[in-house]
Amino acid sequence: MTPKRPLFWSGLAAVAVAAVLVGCAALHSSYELPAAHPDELEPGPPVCSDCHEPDGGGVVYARFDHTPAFAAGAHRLAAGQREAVCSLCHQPSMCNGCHADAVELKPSTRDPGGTRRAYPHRGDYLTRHRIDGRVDPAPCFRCHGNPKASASCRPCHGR
Amino acid sequence: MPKRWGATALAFTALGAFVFAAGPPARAAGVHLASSTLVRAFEDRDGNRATPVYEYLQADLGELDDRGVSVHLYGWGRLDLADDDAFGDRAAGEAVYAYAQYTAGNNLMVRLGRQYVFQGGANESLDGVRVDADVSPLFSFTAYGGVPVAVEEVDGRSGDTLWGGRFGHHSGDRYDLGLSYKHLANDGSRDDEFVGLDGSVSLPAGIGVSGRSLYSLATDGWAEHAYEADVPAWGTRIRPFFQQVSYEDRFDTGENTGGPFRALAGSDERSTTLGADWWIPAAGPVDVTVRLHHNRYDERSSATYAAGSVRWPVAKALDLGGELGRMNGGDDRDRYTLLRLFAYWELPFGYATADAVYARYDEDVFGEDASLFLSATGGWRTPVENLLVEVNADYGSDPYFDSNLRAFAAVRYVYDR
Repeated sequence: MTPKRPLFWSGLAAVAVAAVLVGCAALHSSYELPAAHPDELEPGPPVCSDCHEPDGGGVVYARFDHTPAFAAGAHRLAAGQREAVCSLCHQPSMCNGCHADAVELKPSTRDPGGTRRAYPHRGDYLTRHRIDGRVDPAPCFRCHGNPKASASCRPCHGR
Repeated sequence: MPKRWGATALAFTALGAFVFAAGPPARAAGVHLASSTLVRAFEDRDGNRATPVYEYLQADLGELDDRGVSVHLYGWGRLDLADDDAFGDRAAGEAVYAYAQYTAGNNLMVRLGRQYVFQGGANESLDGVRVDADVSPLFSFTAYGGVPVAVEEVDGRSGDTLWGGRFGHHSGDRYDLGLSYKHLANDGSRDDEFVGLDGSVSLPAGIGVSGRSLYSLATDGWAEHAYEADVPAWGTRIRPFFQQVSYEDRFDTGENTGGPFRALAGSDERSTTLGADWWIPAAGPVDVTVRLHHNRYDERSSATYAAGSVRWPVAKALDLGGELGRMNGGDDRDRYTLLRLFAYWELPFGYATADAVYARYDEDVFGEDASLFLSATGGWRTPVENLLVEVNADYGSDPYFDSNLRAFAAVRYVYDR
């Protein structure tokens, strides 16, 4: 069997399942998020639960409070479950500023004036990454784990 | 390939220039354009001088504040005016995403084109289709499929496939449980396949617990467990967390594994991280965060990172902040002390910022025991609405550079209608 045959049937099955699920989706009503946050927010990191009930209205808004821990890493699990909540205020470019296979410039280089933001890799991270990478390579892998995203690693680490 | 990326770079640069030249479109309901044109000047480690011009361009068109059809584009291109060899054969541009989106009732969303999928443990760039929807008040799903972008550099794109999804069960705002799956093939053979379990639950007293586990079907082992809690207490927020990673099962994704992780994928190492972040917003006007991460391993000595950071709004227009951290690894080569100080000063016509990062290493790196990084930035909000001009200078002295100056300038423009 050529490699393309299973691809075809897998694709067909996926489309069929998706069609059924979308059909089901059309038949019910549940809590719906708006397409965009209805009010303009104050500048600075928002604490969603200041205005929303922390765990009310179909969304646990406290999970999306932009605390320092949220910026530093806690947003990963929240976004992995309810990306639609992020989309109320952010376009994907917000995520892709840091998480992308190839944006070349690290966030603190692209936005050097963003001193109040929790950008990783500030300053001489070239040296510090030797230690941080040995201590916990999992966060490195999340953004540099594939051949395209590791282009900046290639000059020293090879392919 | 360089010619192809060169063309991409030129296309984005030209498009960015067009945005400036054209100004606000005559008919532009539901239009968001954001352009950042950056110029850098620096010398690399091999002595190559570089003066790259970057254009980062984002465009969002269509129904942006309501349900309907919209188009979203984001990408960048680079043109090195110095025409030296600083960038070698690295890509000179990339369409990060370019997709059409349709949204409707019941949280239905369909995306078609190049996009990123951050869902249920997936973290992939995809040329294909994605569908999200609620199928009942209790169940929702995400499904995606197409061609992965990451492995296009490995033997082209023929036979490359990526597909998967997540099926979720949730009860209002009480809990959300998900089962996810991802399959990635390069040249027709499986590189990465995992099943993921994720969950979050709201407990009394505002306590939240969430986490996920990934099981690699390619290596037949648990790849990662990551769990955390959010505990409000005494006006503060405590975030204890646990993470366990099996290097072989997490990093061995066949041809899809990036260079630095291939050696790790061949080890039997497993790391366990326990830690907590403690955010104390109520310490007077000063915002304090304390961080403690302890890493234990099956095969090597443990390591601990402890840090405290503060942010102090001295005045309405002036923020000061800093961080002091200590990495204490099993031996000297894994130990350093980090000090960062920063300032942000809001001015009537823009802003000024300063940043200093100092690291001292317990064991010399290339004969040096410290790094110093200094950065100063000025931003001018021009009379043209949403047009910002920014200049920056960095100084660095570290194991890789004896003394290094870098310059940066940016013109940023946002158009919304």
